[in-house]
Amino acid sequence: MLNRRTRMLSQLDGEIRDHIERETEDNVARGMSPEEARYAAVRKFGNARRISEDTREIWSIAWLENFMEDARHGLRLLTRNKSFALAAILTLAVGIGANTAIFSVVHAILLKPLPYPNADRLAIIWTGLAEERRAPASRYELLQMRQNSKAFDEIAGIWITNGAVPGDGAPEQVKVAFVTTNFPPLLASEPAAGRFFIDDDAKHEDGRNILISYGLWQRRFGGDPAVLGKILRNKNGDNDDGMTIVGVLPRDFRLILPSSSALSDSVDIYMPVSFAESPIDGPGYLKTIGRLAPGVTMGQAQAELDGVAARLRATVPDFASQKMSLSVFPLQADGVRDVRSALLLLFAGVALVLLIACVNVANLLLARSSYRLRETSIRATIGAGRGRLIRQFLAESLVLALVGGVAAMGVAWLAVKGLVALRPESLLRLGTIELNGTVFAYALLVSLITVIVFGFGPAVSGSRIDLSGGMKSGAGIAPRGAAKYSRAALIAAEVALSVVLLSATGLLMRTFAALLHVSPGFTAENALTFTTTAGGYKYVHEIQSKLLEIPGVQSVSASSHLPLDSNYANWYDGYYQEGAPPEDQNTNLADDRSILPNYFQSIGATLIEGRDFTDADDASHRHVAIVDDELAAKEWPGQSALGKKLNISDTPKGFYEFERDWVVVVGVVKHVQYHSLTSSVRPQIYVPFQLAPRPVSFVVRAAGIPTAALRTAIRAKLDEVDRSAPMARVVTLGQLADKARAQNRFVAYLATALAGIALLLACVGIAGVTSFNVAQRTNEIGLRMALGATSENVLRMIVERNLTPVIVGLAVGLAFSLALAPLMESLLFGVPPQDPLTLAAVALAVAVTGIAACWLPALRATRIDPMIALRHD
Amino acid sequence: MTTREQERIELLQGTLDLLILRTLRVGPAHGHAIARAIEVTSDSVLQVEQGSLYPALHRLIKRGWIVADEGTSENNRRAKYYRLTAKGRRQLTVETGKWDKLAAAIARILRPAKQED
Repeated sequence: MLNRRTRMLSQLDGEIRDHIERETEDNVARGMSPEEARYAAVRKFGNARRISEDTREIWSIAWLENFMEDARHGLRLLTRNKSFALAAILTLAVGIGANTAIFSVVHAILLKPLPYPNADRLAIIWTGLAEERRAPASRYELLQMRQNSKAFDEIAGIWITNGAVPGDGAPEQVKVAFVTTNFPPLLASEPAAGRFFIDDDAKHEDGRNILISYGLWQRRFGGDPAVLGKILRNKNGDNDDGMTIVGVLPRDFRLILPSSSALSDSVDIYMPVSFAESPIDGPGYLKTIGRLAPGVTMGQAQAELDGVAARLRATVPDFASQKMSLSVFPLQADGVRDVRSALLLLFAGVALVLLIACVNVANLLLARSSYRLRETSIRATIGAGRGRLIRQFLAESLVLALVGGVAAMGVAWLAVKGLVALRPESLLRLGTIELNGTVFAYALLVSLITVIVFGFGPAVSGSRIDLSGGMKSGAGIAPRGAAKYSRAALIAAEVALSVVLLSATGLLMRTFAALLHVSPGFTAENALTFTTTAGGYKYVHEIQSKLLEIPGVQSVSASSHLPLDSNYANWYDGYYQEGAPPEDQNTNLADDRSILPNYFQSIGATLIEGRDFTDADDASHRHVAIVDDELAAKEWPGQSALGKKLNISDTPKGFYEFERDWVVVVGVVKHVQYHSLTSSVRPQIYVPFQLAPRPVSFVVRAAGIPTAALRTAIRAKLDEVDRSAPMARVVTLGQLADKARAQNRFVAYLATALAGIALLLACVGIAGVTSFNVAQRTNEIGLRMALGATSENVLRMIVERNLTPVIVGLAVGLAFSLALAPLMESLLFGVPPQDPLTLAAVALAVAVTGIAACWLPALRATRIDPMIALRHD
Repeated sequence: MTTREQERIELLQGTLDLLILRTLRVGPAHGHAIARAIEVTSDSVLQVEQGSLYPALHRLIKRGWIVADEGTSENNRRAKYYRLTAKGRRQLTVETGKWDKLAAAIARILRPAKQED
């Protein structure tokens, strides 16, 4: 179209010249003098310039050119009315910028596909056993799924544990993943160096071939390609045959897996495990990741796995009694299920803020269109139709929105920096929060949408012209009824939106406060924890005794799992009490923890009855256990649990060599929150380390020693035991508790910021409209005061009149809050969704703000000099 | 204004299009030739402000009724020739029919007695 236009018009001027020449020639032939002939030809042709323009008009995209003209006009108006422009642009910048920032989080975590090949076909498969819905699969189950599935073109498993980097060099504890040989290609396209696994790699479990992460390759081996084929040997001889590095994973490879799966994203060593030789009750659980065959839906895959589970239940009695099931979820959706509702809530909140911002700008535009009545009337008089006027107003709004949108980029950039600084770990591990092309496109889209939201009403009302009235009046005339009511309605809407946002924020803040005061079952202060190389009882016992020698240390112990820490994959298993009928022997699950004596004292837990473990509680004596109060109450309500017998799994013969065992309960301890501050998940069974040796974390309770000094002292003592022992993941129990609150803190802070912005915008809106009303009524106020009204009369009149929409908005907002509150239930803790206290506080805050926002402009009205006011235009 | 000019008739809205199409039915012509043809064939009664021809030509091109070709005119001057398209030819038939109806209708209104004769 544009091309054709250019081609058509390029010769127009030449053609016109040619035409006039020909006519001149004709005239000369008719006997005119050359001069006369030319003059006659030009006259006959008409106004060449206008004709040229008319012709161009035919090819022009008229609306676009008109729009550009309107936009230029709008831009001129903006620069002329700077305070209006600044107010509107700032408001939009905050609204759009906040939206863009939150969208960048939503995009990174909920929308952007995982950085894996065929990410949309990746799924996670959970095993359901008894009450547990999200258990890993045994190797046997994995093998069954793999052999009997056509819906998946690949099914692989991964299990992550802790280990030390083998070979020479400083001791360093890292995450080690045991993966089936088909796992790496499922999530990565090709290795950075070397190769991925081949099936043979899994056959010899001694002297294994391993893959390492790009990070380990760089920091430990300087990125040396000669690392391939290198055999790493452990000095203490744990792996006699050493390990051979056969490949390096890609640089940007990250494990992004559900947080509840206790899978870390920074695994440095990958060891192959075999599918083969997996007895039904064999050890070695794996989280299962599958890739759907092309064209297969999740529903079809689920149906197929239901069949596999049914066959397994039919063939294995244990599976039948545990009601074993398999469930498949999209990998991404499963990964974000913990953060999804919080993110959507924030997104909704930020949308409300944008709405409030739009309402404010609409108000500003409405006020301005009253001032522009004369201009609009003139335009209408000289022939601008209603549609043309609306288009003009919208074009101006569009300019406003786009300028606001550009300013919003700055706001968003700052906001994203702030968001990342809040370190919402549960979010950061799921994706990279950044401003990228998609986010910019979103911001542009939002800017355009705001034009419709804030620009359309004022455009329609501003174009409604009573010609004679508009021409007669001054620049500012008394607001017509419709405009007055629409301003009041906008204020009411703004207040209502703020109330909804404030109520939600109030609930989130109370939740966060409740989390700060919740008793986690342990004492977070004065306890430092760290992990080190796994070793047997003698090794850990020696460390325990050495650390106790540090002056000021009150208690030292170790546990396979620390509260609120996901460093180690959770250990939980079935248990039953003595005399339980067979059908109940497979249905109860408890978290199992392997601990050294003095553990409860070290973490500051409460021993309710019975005794702690001692060094004598080993395999050669009576096998004992300590349970938490929840298990005791569930199994033996109304009785003491002491002396009762439980059947559990432990590993007295060595690491992970599970066997069923009868243990006697010798103590009951208050439940400790291991998984989150808010839900207890499962009851707990503690067994002495000697009955279940496994990698442990140490806890050192010491008062009055700075963390750094304590750390140095621990390192020194550790050196006395084993110079090669790493001291990794040094964190305080307080930090672990803090991390458990991180997401709630993130949401609460953000919501508070949003609510603050909303209240501020509402305040500005109310004050703006009140000022406008006062200005409009300067005459009237002057007259009243001249006739004897006191300042107080005037003040009350103005506040009362302008407060009405605030009160209406407050009532509507409270009603909406009550109605919407149940949606938030899953995000709250320690506070009911329809908490009257929160709502009352919100109502009070909004009422006070509303009065204050009316008060200041009203106060100014009382200072009006009646003489000046009466002369006011 | 001179008397001669007053005798001329201003073109009705839209009729210029019809005249252009009719003129081009004889064969391609450049802008000036079209203007002169309209003038000559109407015995100089129809007053065309010659310039107004050009917006009309471009309107017709946009509608696809005529096309413009580059060509060389009689004395070797480069010129743009306008030519009727098949669509334009059909349109001419339609427009001519409409015009006839309109002219007849107006004639009936203006000269009702004539029919009684």
